[in-house]
Amino acid sequence: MKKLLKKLNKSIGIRGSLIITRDGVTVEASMEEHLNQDTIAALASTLLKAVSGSRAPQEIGDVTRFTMSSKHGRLIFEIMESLVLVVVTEKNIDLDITMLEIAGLAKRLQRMARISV
Amino acid sequence: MRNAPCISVFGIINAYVIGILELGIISSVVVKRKIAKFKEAIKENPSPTTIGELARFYIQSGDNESAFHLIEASIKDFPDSELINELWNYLSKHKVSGVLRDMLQALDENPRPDHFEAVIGIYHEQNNISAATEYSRRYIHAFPEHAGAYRTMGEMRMERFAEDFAASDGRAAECVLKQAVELDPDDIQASVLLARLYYWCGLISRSRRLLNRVVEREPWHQEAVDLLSACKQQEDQDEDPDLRFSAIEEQRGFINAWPEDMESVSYSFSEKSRSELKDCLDASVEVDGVVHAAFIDANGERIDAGEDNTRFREFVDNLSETARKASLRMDIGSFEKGVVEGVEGGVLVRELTGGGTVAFQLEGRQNTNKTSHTLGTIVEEMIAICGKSNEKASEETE
Repeated sequence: MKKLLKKLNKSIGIRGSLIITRDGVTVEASMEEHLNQDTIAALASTLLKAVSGSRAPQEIGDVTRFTMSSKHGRLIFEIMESLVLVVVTEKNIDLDITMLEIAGLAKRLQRMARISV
Repeated sequence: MRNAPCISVFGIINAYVIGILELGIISSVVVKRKIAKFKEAIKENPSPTTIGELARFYIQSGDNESAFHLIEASIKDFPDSELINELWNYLSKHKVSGVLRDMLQALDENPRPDHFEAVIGIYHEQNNISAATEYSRRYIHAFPEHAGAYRTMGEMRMERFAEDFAASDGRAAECVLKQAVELDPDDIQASVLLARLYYWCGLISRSRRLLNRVVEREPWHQEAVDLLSACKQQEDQDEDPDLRFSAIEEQRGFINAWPEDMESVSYSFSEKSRSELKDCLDASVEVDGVVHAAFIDANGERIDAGEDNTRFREFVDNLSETARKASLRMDIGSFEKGVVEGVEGGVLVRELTGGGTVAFQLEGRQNTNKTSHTLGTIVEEMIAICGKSNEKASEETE
């Protein structure tokens, strides 16, 4: 999984990525040096709880993606069955292309997770 | 007898080349026609929306230069438009000017402190604080014993601190400026910046100590003299800076303004503004796919539209508060927008410049992107209302 994250991180505009479980436990992470991996992992877990599960309005169904845009960066949560892929990007990237890469990686990770179980 | 088809390879290549050329010519004609159409729309109705559409078309066609000039001219007419400002920020970053290109090349070939400072200075002028901060980081990495590297980073962090009031920016600014002063006590500018930071945070005795040292060495340093005089009028306070940075993040404002004409934002909405915001929300639930809409001001007071839905309201309250805090703590600046996509619908949350959060719940997954584009115009209007309301409130308090 780490190899896949490192490969993703080579894409333009991506500053780091991590995989957490639906409960918010970090499985794997790979970030630029100056980013505090532990802080981001902990906060990603808090955000995941804020957007999914029993808190989300029932009418929207199961939450599959959350994108958070801030002044100097973006966080993308790709929410799968048992895992969540969290990607930290620069603010102004071509989101369409990046999303394709992220979605593709998410599917691969979920398949890996099913096989290992 | 059937004649075999006579296929010439040259003919195929020729046809292919002509086809490509024709395609090029045709697409060029199509592009020109589209541009003419967009320009006509702007002439009939000059607005951020019509201008934004042409700018986006230029960008998609790979012509960032034309898009940049268009937005540069428009920003004077629509300085408060979120769309125009967003496009301006994007194009400032992606339009690499000749000077910047030369400096980046010079830096690449020969990474010297003055080259770093020139590149950072240009990005700073373009208001591209992210890029300026990134190059400041590289400057420190390349020259870890050079006070200028830390001073430059300190300046960038102070800019961010003044925008977002994030404790992480305050802490980072203090850390690097202290490092700059330690490495070079003769770096007067680093001392003055640090003194300014402390003054913002009400840490008067720390500020005064630095300024006394500066004024001893350079009694003609105008800012140091003026700031020292301002310190004398303040109560002598001292506290752990860390606690003070956290308090500033919590209250979203500095204790003291410096320079004295530094804008301070006061968030308040008149009855008239509330009524206008309610009209915008009511219009939003008329948009196909929008089920609920809500506006929450900086004091937690709300305006709702659509069917009453407690769960939606609680979700938005919790999400915007969590995202706001998380964003600052992750050191990616203040939270601006969140999009939650579910299998059967979505929620859009948007922080408005001017103090407030607006949120919409959408039904039908395919609607999220399309509808958010339509809602963009309504959000622009709400931003303008918030801006006018805060201007009035500031005038009244002056």
